[in-house]
Amino acid sequence: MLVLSRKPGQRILIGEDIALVILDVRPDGVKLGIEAPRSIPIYREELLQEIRHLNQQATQPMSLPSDIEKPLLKDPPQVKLSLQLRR
Amino acid sequence: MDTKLESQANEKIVVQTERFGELTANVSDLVRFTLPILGFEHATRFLLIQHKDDSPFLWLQSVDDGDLAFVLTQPKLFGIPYTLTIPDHAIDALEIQHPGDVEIYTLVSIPDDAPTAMTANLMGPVVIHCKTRLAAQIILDSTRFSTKTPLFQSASAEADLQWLTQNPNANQSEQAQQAISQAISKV
Repeated sequence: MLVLSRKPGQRILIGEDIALVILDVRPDGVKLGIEAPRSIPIYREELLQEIRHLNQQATQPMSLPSDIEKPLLKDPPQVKLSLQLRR
Repeated sequence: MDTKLESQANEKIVVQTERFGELTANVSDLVRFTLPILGFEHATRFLLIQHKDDSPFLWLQSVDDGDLAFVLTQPKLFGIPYTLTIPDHAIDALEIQHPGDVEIYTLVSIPDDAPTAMTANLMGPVVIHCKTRLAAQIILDSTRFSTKTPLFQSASAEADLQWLTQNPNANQSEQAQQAISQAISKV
């Protein structure tokens, strides 16, 4: 692993498209800014681990509500799904 | 070339599944994950099977692993507002041209001991392109969403629930196959 020392305001460049900026350093954490093309996904690792764990929990449920829709969906609420495509 | 495409479209696949028994489907009906369900990178091809007529639940049955199935739903069917932005890399991966090209589903976790406490993962929805049938699990790192959104807000819903018994009977496989075409027409 490459280890670098940086001060607030200093940057690290990764390749031609990605820059990390040290915004703030506090006793309990570091605030980073990341400049990267929008095509590059950026995640907090623990979120990916949580979703991986939840996916595992969501497999092969052995029971499933059968008649749930009858009481609940007589009058399905008209909630519109709107997607925004960012280009 | 047309002939080749046609023969591919009519190609059948037979899958042995734990829940539905033997399923036969058109290869062209398969949903293919170009961004995998996290932790299930080995399973990229799935069938969508509607649970029952008018049910808010769909089965996502793997054809690469017959024992693997998920339950999907759409939060809007439970009155849960859900507006999201599809990340650019997923737009590319799914070849999305218009917002209307896709349907958004969420994976449902159903606790064995308290099924009414079922939750949907709104931070990791499954996006399916209705025409190309390409799919992706996308990750929404936003405080607006929760990984465990309860589908039932009120305790009174419990009284309305009836539960399927665990063992699918012989008819279910047949029903499931009929349901495939219905699900496909909806997606």
